[in-house]
Amino acid sequence: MNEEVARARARVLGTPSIPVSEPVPAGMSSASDGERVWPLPAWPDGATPALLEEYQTAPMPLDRPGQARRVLAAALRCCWTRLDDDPWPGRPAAVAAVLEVYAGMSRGDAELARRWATGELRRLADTGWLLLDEQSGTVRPGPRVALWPDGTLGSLRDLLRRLPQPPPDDALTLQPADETAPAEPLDGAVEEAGGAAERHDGVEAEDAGEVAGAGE
Amino acid sequence: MSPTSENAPGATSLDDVLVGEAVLGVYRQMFAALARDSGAVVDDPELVDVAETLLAAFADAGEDGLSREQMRYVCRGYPAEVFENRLRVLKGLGAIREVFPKPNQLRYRASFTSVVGLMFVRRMMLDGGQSEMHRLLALEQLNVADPRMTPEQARDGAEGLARAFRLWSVELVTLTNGTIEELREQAPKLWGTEEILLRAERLHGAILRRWPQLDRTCTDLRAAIYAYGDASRRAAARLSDSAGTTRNLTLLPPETWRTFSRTASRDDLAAVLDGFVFDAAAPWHEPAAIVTAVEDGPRSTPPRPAPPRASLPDNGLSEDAGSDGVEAERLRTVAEEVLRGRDAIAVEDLLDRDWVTARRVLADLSSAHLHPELPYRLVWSDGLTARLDGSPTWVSPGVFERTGP
Repeated sequence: MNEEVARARARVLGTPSIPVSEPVPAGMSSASDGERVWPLPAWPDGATPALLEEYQTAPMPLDRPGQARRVLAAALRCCWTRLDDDPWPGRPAAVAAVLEVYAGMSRGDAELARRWATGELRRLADTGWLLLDEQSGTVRPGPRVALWPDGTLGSLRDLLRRLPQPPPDDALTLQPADETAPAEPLDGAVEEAGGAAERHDGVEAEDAGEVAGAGE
Repeated sequence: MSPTSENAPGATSLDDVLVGEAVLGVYRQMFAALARDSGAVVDDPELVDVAETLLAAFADAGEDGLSREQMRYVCRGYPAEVFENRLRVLKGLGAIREVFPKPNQLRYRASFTSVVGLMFVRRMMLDGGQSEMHRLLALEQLNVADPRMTPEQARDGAEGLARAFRLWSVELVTLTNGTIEELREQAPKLWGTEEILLRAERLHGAILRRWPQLDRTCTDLRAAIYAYGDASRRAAARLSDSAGTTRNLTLLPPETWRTFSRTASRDDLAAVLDGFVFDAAAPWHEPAAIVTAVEDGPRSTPPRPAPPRASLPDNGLSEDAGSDGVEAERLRTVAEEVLRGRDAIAVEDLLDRDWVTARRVLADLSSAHLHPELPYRLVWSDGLTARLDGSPTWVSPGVFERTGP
């Protein structure tokens, strides 16, 4: 493939994967898991988009960034098991386990938390932060986590040690209800857009209450 | 063209009826082209075209006029019933009449007035009366300069203009208060230029100079002109406000854009961005941001533990909180004992006992003096009295007194 086309493709599609045999376009870094390779943007001097904050430039806006990051943390808790290593490539974990961890982190209706987390998992997968395999119901870290400089990972490692334990794998396989959990939200995904609007309010109000309570 | 009635109102005679009939005849001929039948106005622009075609043919035909068959031939483009209807109406209103008023006339001629009326109507349709006002003002200017002009004619002309200006400004004001789309559409035909105002004011000045006795009419005219100027400026201001700072009056208002974006199909909206390529969404989650998000998020356990409590039973607040009430009451009792109903007492008299008791009293009195709520005070004055045999061997003169109730 032409190199310019490959770079343009990588920019337009976000994080497309190419076979390892294909060359990575010049000027891009890459993350590989042995079979596939993901071209990633490269920034000069080891900077990351977090630098935007120092220049008081607004980063890309996100709906509910806090929730997305909590779900990412829950996913990393399950996938990044050897915290002394790099998060990439990590190991696959069951989506049900991630949802369980997230439900344990958050307050309120656990079923609702799982539904929200499912949506956030998809959004994170769309933007290359997670690799979600909905058929097998597994998730693993996305290629973008390979962009994290090693020096910034200390506090994240500490945090992940404090997060609730994911349920052991055999617990998930023993419970058929949990096994179907990743498949179930897929059916509900169609109605998620509609259901999200009405269910959203409760969570938002809860969040607002939390903030107000902390402020007092 | 406006009829002038010279008669006093109220007195009707045969002459009045004749004059009225002549006026009505002119009216009928003028607007025959616009009449649907003898009682109403056309509801289809094509009917006016029939009349115009007919009138043009009459102009070409010359003094002989046209026969009925020739008229039908000219109007061959229109359906027969339409033509018949038009002919009947035009004949009925006098726009087309027999060459000689005899029965069984075959040839017809057209009325000059109808053509002029039609021209006028067409012009009004084109520019909505604004250039008509220009023409009228110019004509009036000429009339005012005419030596044959009478004051009555000048007054009628001025009143007519004042009425026209008033109606004009009323229409503009109504538009200005209406929707912005309507204003944008209609106002350019209505709002005036500086030139019209200048011309009107010049005419007003000319009338007033020549006939000073018409000052009342001229005042009305002046007021109408100014009202029109104000309305025109307000309409312009509203338009330029709605167009924003660009001054481009053809820009769509924001409501239109909003309506479009709400009602357009997805393809319509996407068509705007044809030919653009966008980077995929690439939000960045910094590890520190993840840590912050988790720590700020709602948690299943309360974020802060309750403060530790003693294991001993808690019997509430203590009764003796060291409040000042008891001490103040004691001091008040001592002070009242010392004063014994008087308002002031000298300190020497108080100290006239053994010093051990006296100094206790003196301490209490000082406390009462210093207490902010008690109405007593100790006032010392200069001087020193030596008492060789007293227990304190010297004493300063002083007064313990009551300062209030």
